[in-house]
Amino acid sequence: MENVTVCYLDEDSMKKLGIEEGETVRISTKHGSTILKALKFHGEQPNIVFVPYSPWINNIVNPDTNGVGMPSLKGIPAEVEPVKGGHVLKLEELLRGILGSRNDGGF
Amino acid sequence: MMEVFKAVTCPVCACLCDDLEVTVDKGKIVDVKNGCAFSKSKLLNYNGKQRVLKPLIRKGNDFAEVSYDEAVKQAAKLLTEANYPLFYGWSMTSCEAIRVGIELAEEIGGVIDTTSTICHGPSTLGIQDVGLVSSTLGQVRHRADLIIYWGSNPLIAHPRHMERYTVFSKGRFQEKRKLVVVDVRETETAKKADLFIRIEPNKDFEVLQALRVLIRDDELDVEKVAGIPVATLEKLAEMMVECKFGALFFGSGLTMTEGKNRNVDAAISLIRDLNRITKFIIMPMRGHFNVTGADMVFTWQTGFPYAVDFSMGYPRYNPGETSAIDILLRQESDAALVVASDPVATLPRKAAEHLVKNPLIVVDPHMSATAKLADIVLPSTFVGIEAKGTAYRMDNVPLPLKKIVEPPTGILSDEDILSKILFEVRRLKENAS
Repeated sequence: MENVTVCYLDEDSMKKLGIEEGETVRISTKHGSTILKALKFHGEQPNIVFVPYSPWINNIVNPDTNGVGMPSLKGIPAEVEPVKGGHVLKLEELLRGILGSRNDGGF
Repeated sequence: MMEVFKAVTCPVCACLCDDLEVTVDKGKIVDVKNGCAFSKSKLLNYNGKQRVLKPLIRKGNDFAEVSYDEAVKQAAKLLTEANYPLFYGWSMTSCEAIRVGIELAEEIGGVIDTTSTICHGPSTLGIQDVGLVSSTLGQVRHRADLIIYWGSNPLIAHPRHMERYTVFSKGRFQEKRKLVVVDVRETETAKKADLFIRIEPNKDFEVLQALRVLIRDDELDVEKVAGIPVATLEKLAEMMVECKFGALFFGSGLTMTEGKNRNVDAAISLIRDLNRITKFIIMPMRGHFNVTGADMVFTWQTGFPYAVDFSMGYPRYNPGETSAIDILLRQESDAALVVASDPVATLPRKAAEHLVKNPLIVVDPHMSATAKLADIVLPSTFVGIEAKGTAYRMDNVPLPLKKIVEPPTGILSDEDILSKILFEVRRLKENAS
């Protein structure tokens, strides 16, 4: 799970936003927010946060398919802010949230 | 005694590398040669603690172990009682299993869709709009002198693509090639490029159309397109025009961003234009090992490549309406069968929330995130490890998947499980009539 509960920012972006490597950050879009660990990306990537595809970001992507069946999973405007000691959800916590409305199950 | 299986096809990504050498000792895979890190990881660790070894039915907060017969009976009942069930997944199983899945969806009158719908579905739409100039990967390996990866990072996502087919391979007629990478970030692949063009996010369409202008020797009356100086684009256009055989591979950087299928239209149109000047092909970098095969089987059985709706008694295809995510977002499905996929982990949250409100049946070797939230879990074998079958490489070449080891005692293949559900559904329908 540690490979997908991270996000990557380049050195300039980390400096600009006051984020230390390994620190937790909140990524917010108009669809939701998530907390992940920030890692340094060694390459050009100005003003971009790169996040691996995982259940941890499914609430911040744009589900709208624009009538062609495909949601927008990349190129989504987002805000990134440091959150000292932020809680990265465990998979079970995430799934419990998804299951929340069902009322007849859990684990 | 140790046994070495040669020419094993890798069941991980759509490169379908078919040169693996797998060593088996006492029924267990102990070594994998020629495979990438993904391949080795899957083949050496597939039988881990997340393996499901008994069919399961949800009882409140827990699962109860049941027989296959009981789980199949319950699954068939849930599906036949539904009005608009969704059959989703299919990219990590064999063509033979997919064929049975389509028959099941037709028998019940549901909607069947593949993971293409959330990956290269827009590529299919683009290809349907403007056609496709393509070739096999073998032709690229032996003849291409210019390789372009656009919105794709093969060193990470398809680790042996460059080694087997493009810049790190030695072809019969072509050994050296130029590499161009177009991406929003300087990826690992970009660092290996002769020319890396960093594009602003969501601006691929503009750049592709600008290149169409430049290869015709026309001029652009702007200084930059999508943050790229026109001089840089002119350099790329010159490389494209001057090559003898070019190949453009595109990834989800085109399909998942603004423009979606229109980005793919523009990319294919650029390649079509280039073929008036030189030889150029274009190919989507398909992901899961048999997502291409799913498109194939869907097309030859229904006439359509994905998002097929049988609810009217005949196949209908209208991505945006009959595609899985739209159906889930509109909260229309009332049951779901998920095979060889993990939609709870991969779909947008709102779509996953409706999926788990449905009576949910999962056919999977592992206790995936989707299986954890299912009502019925039917454990299956790993195709290409414990069961044989057929898969299609990203260039539409079919390859055999081998059975290398025996599955755990009593575990059935996807094809057998789906056949049993289909048989039970037909029995229930006969009884009802």
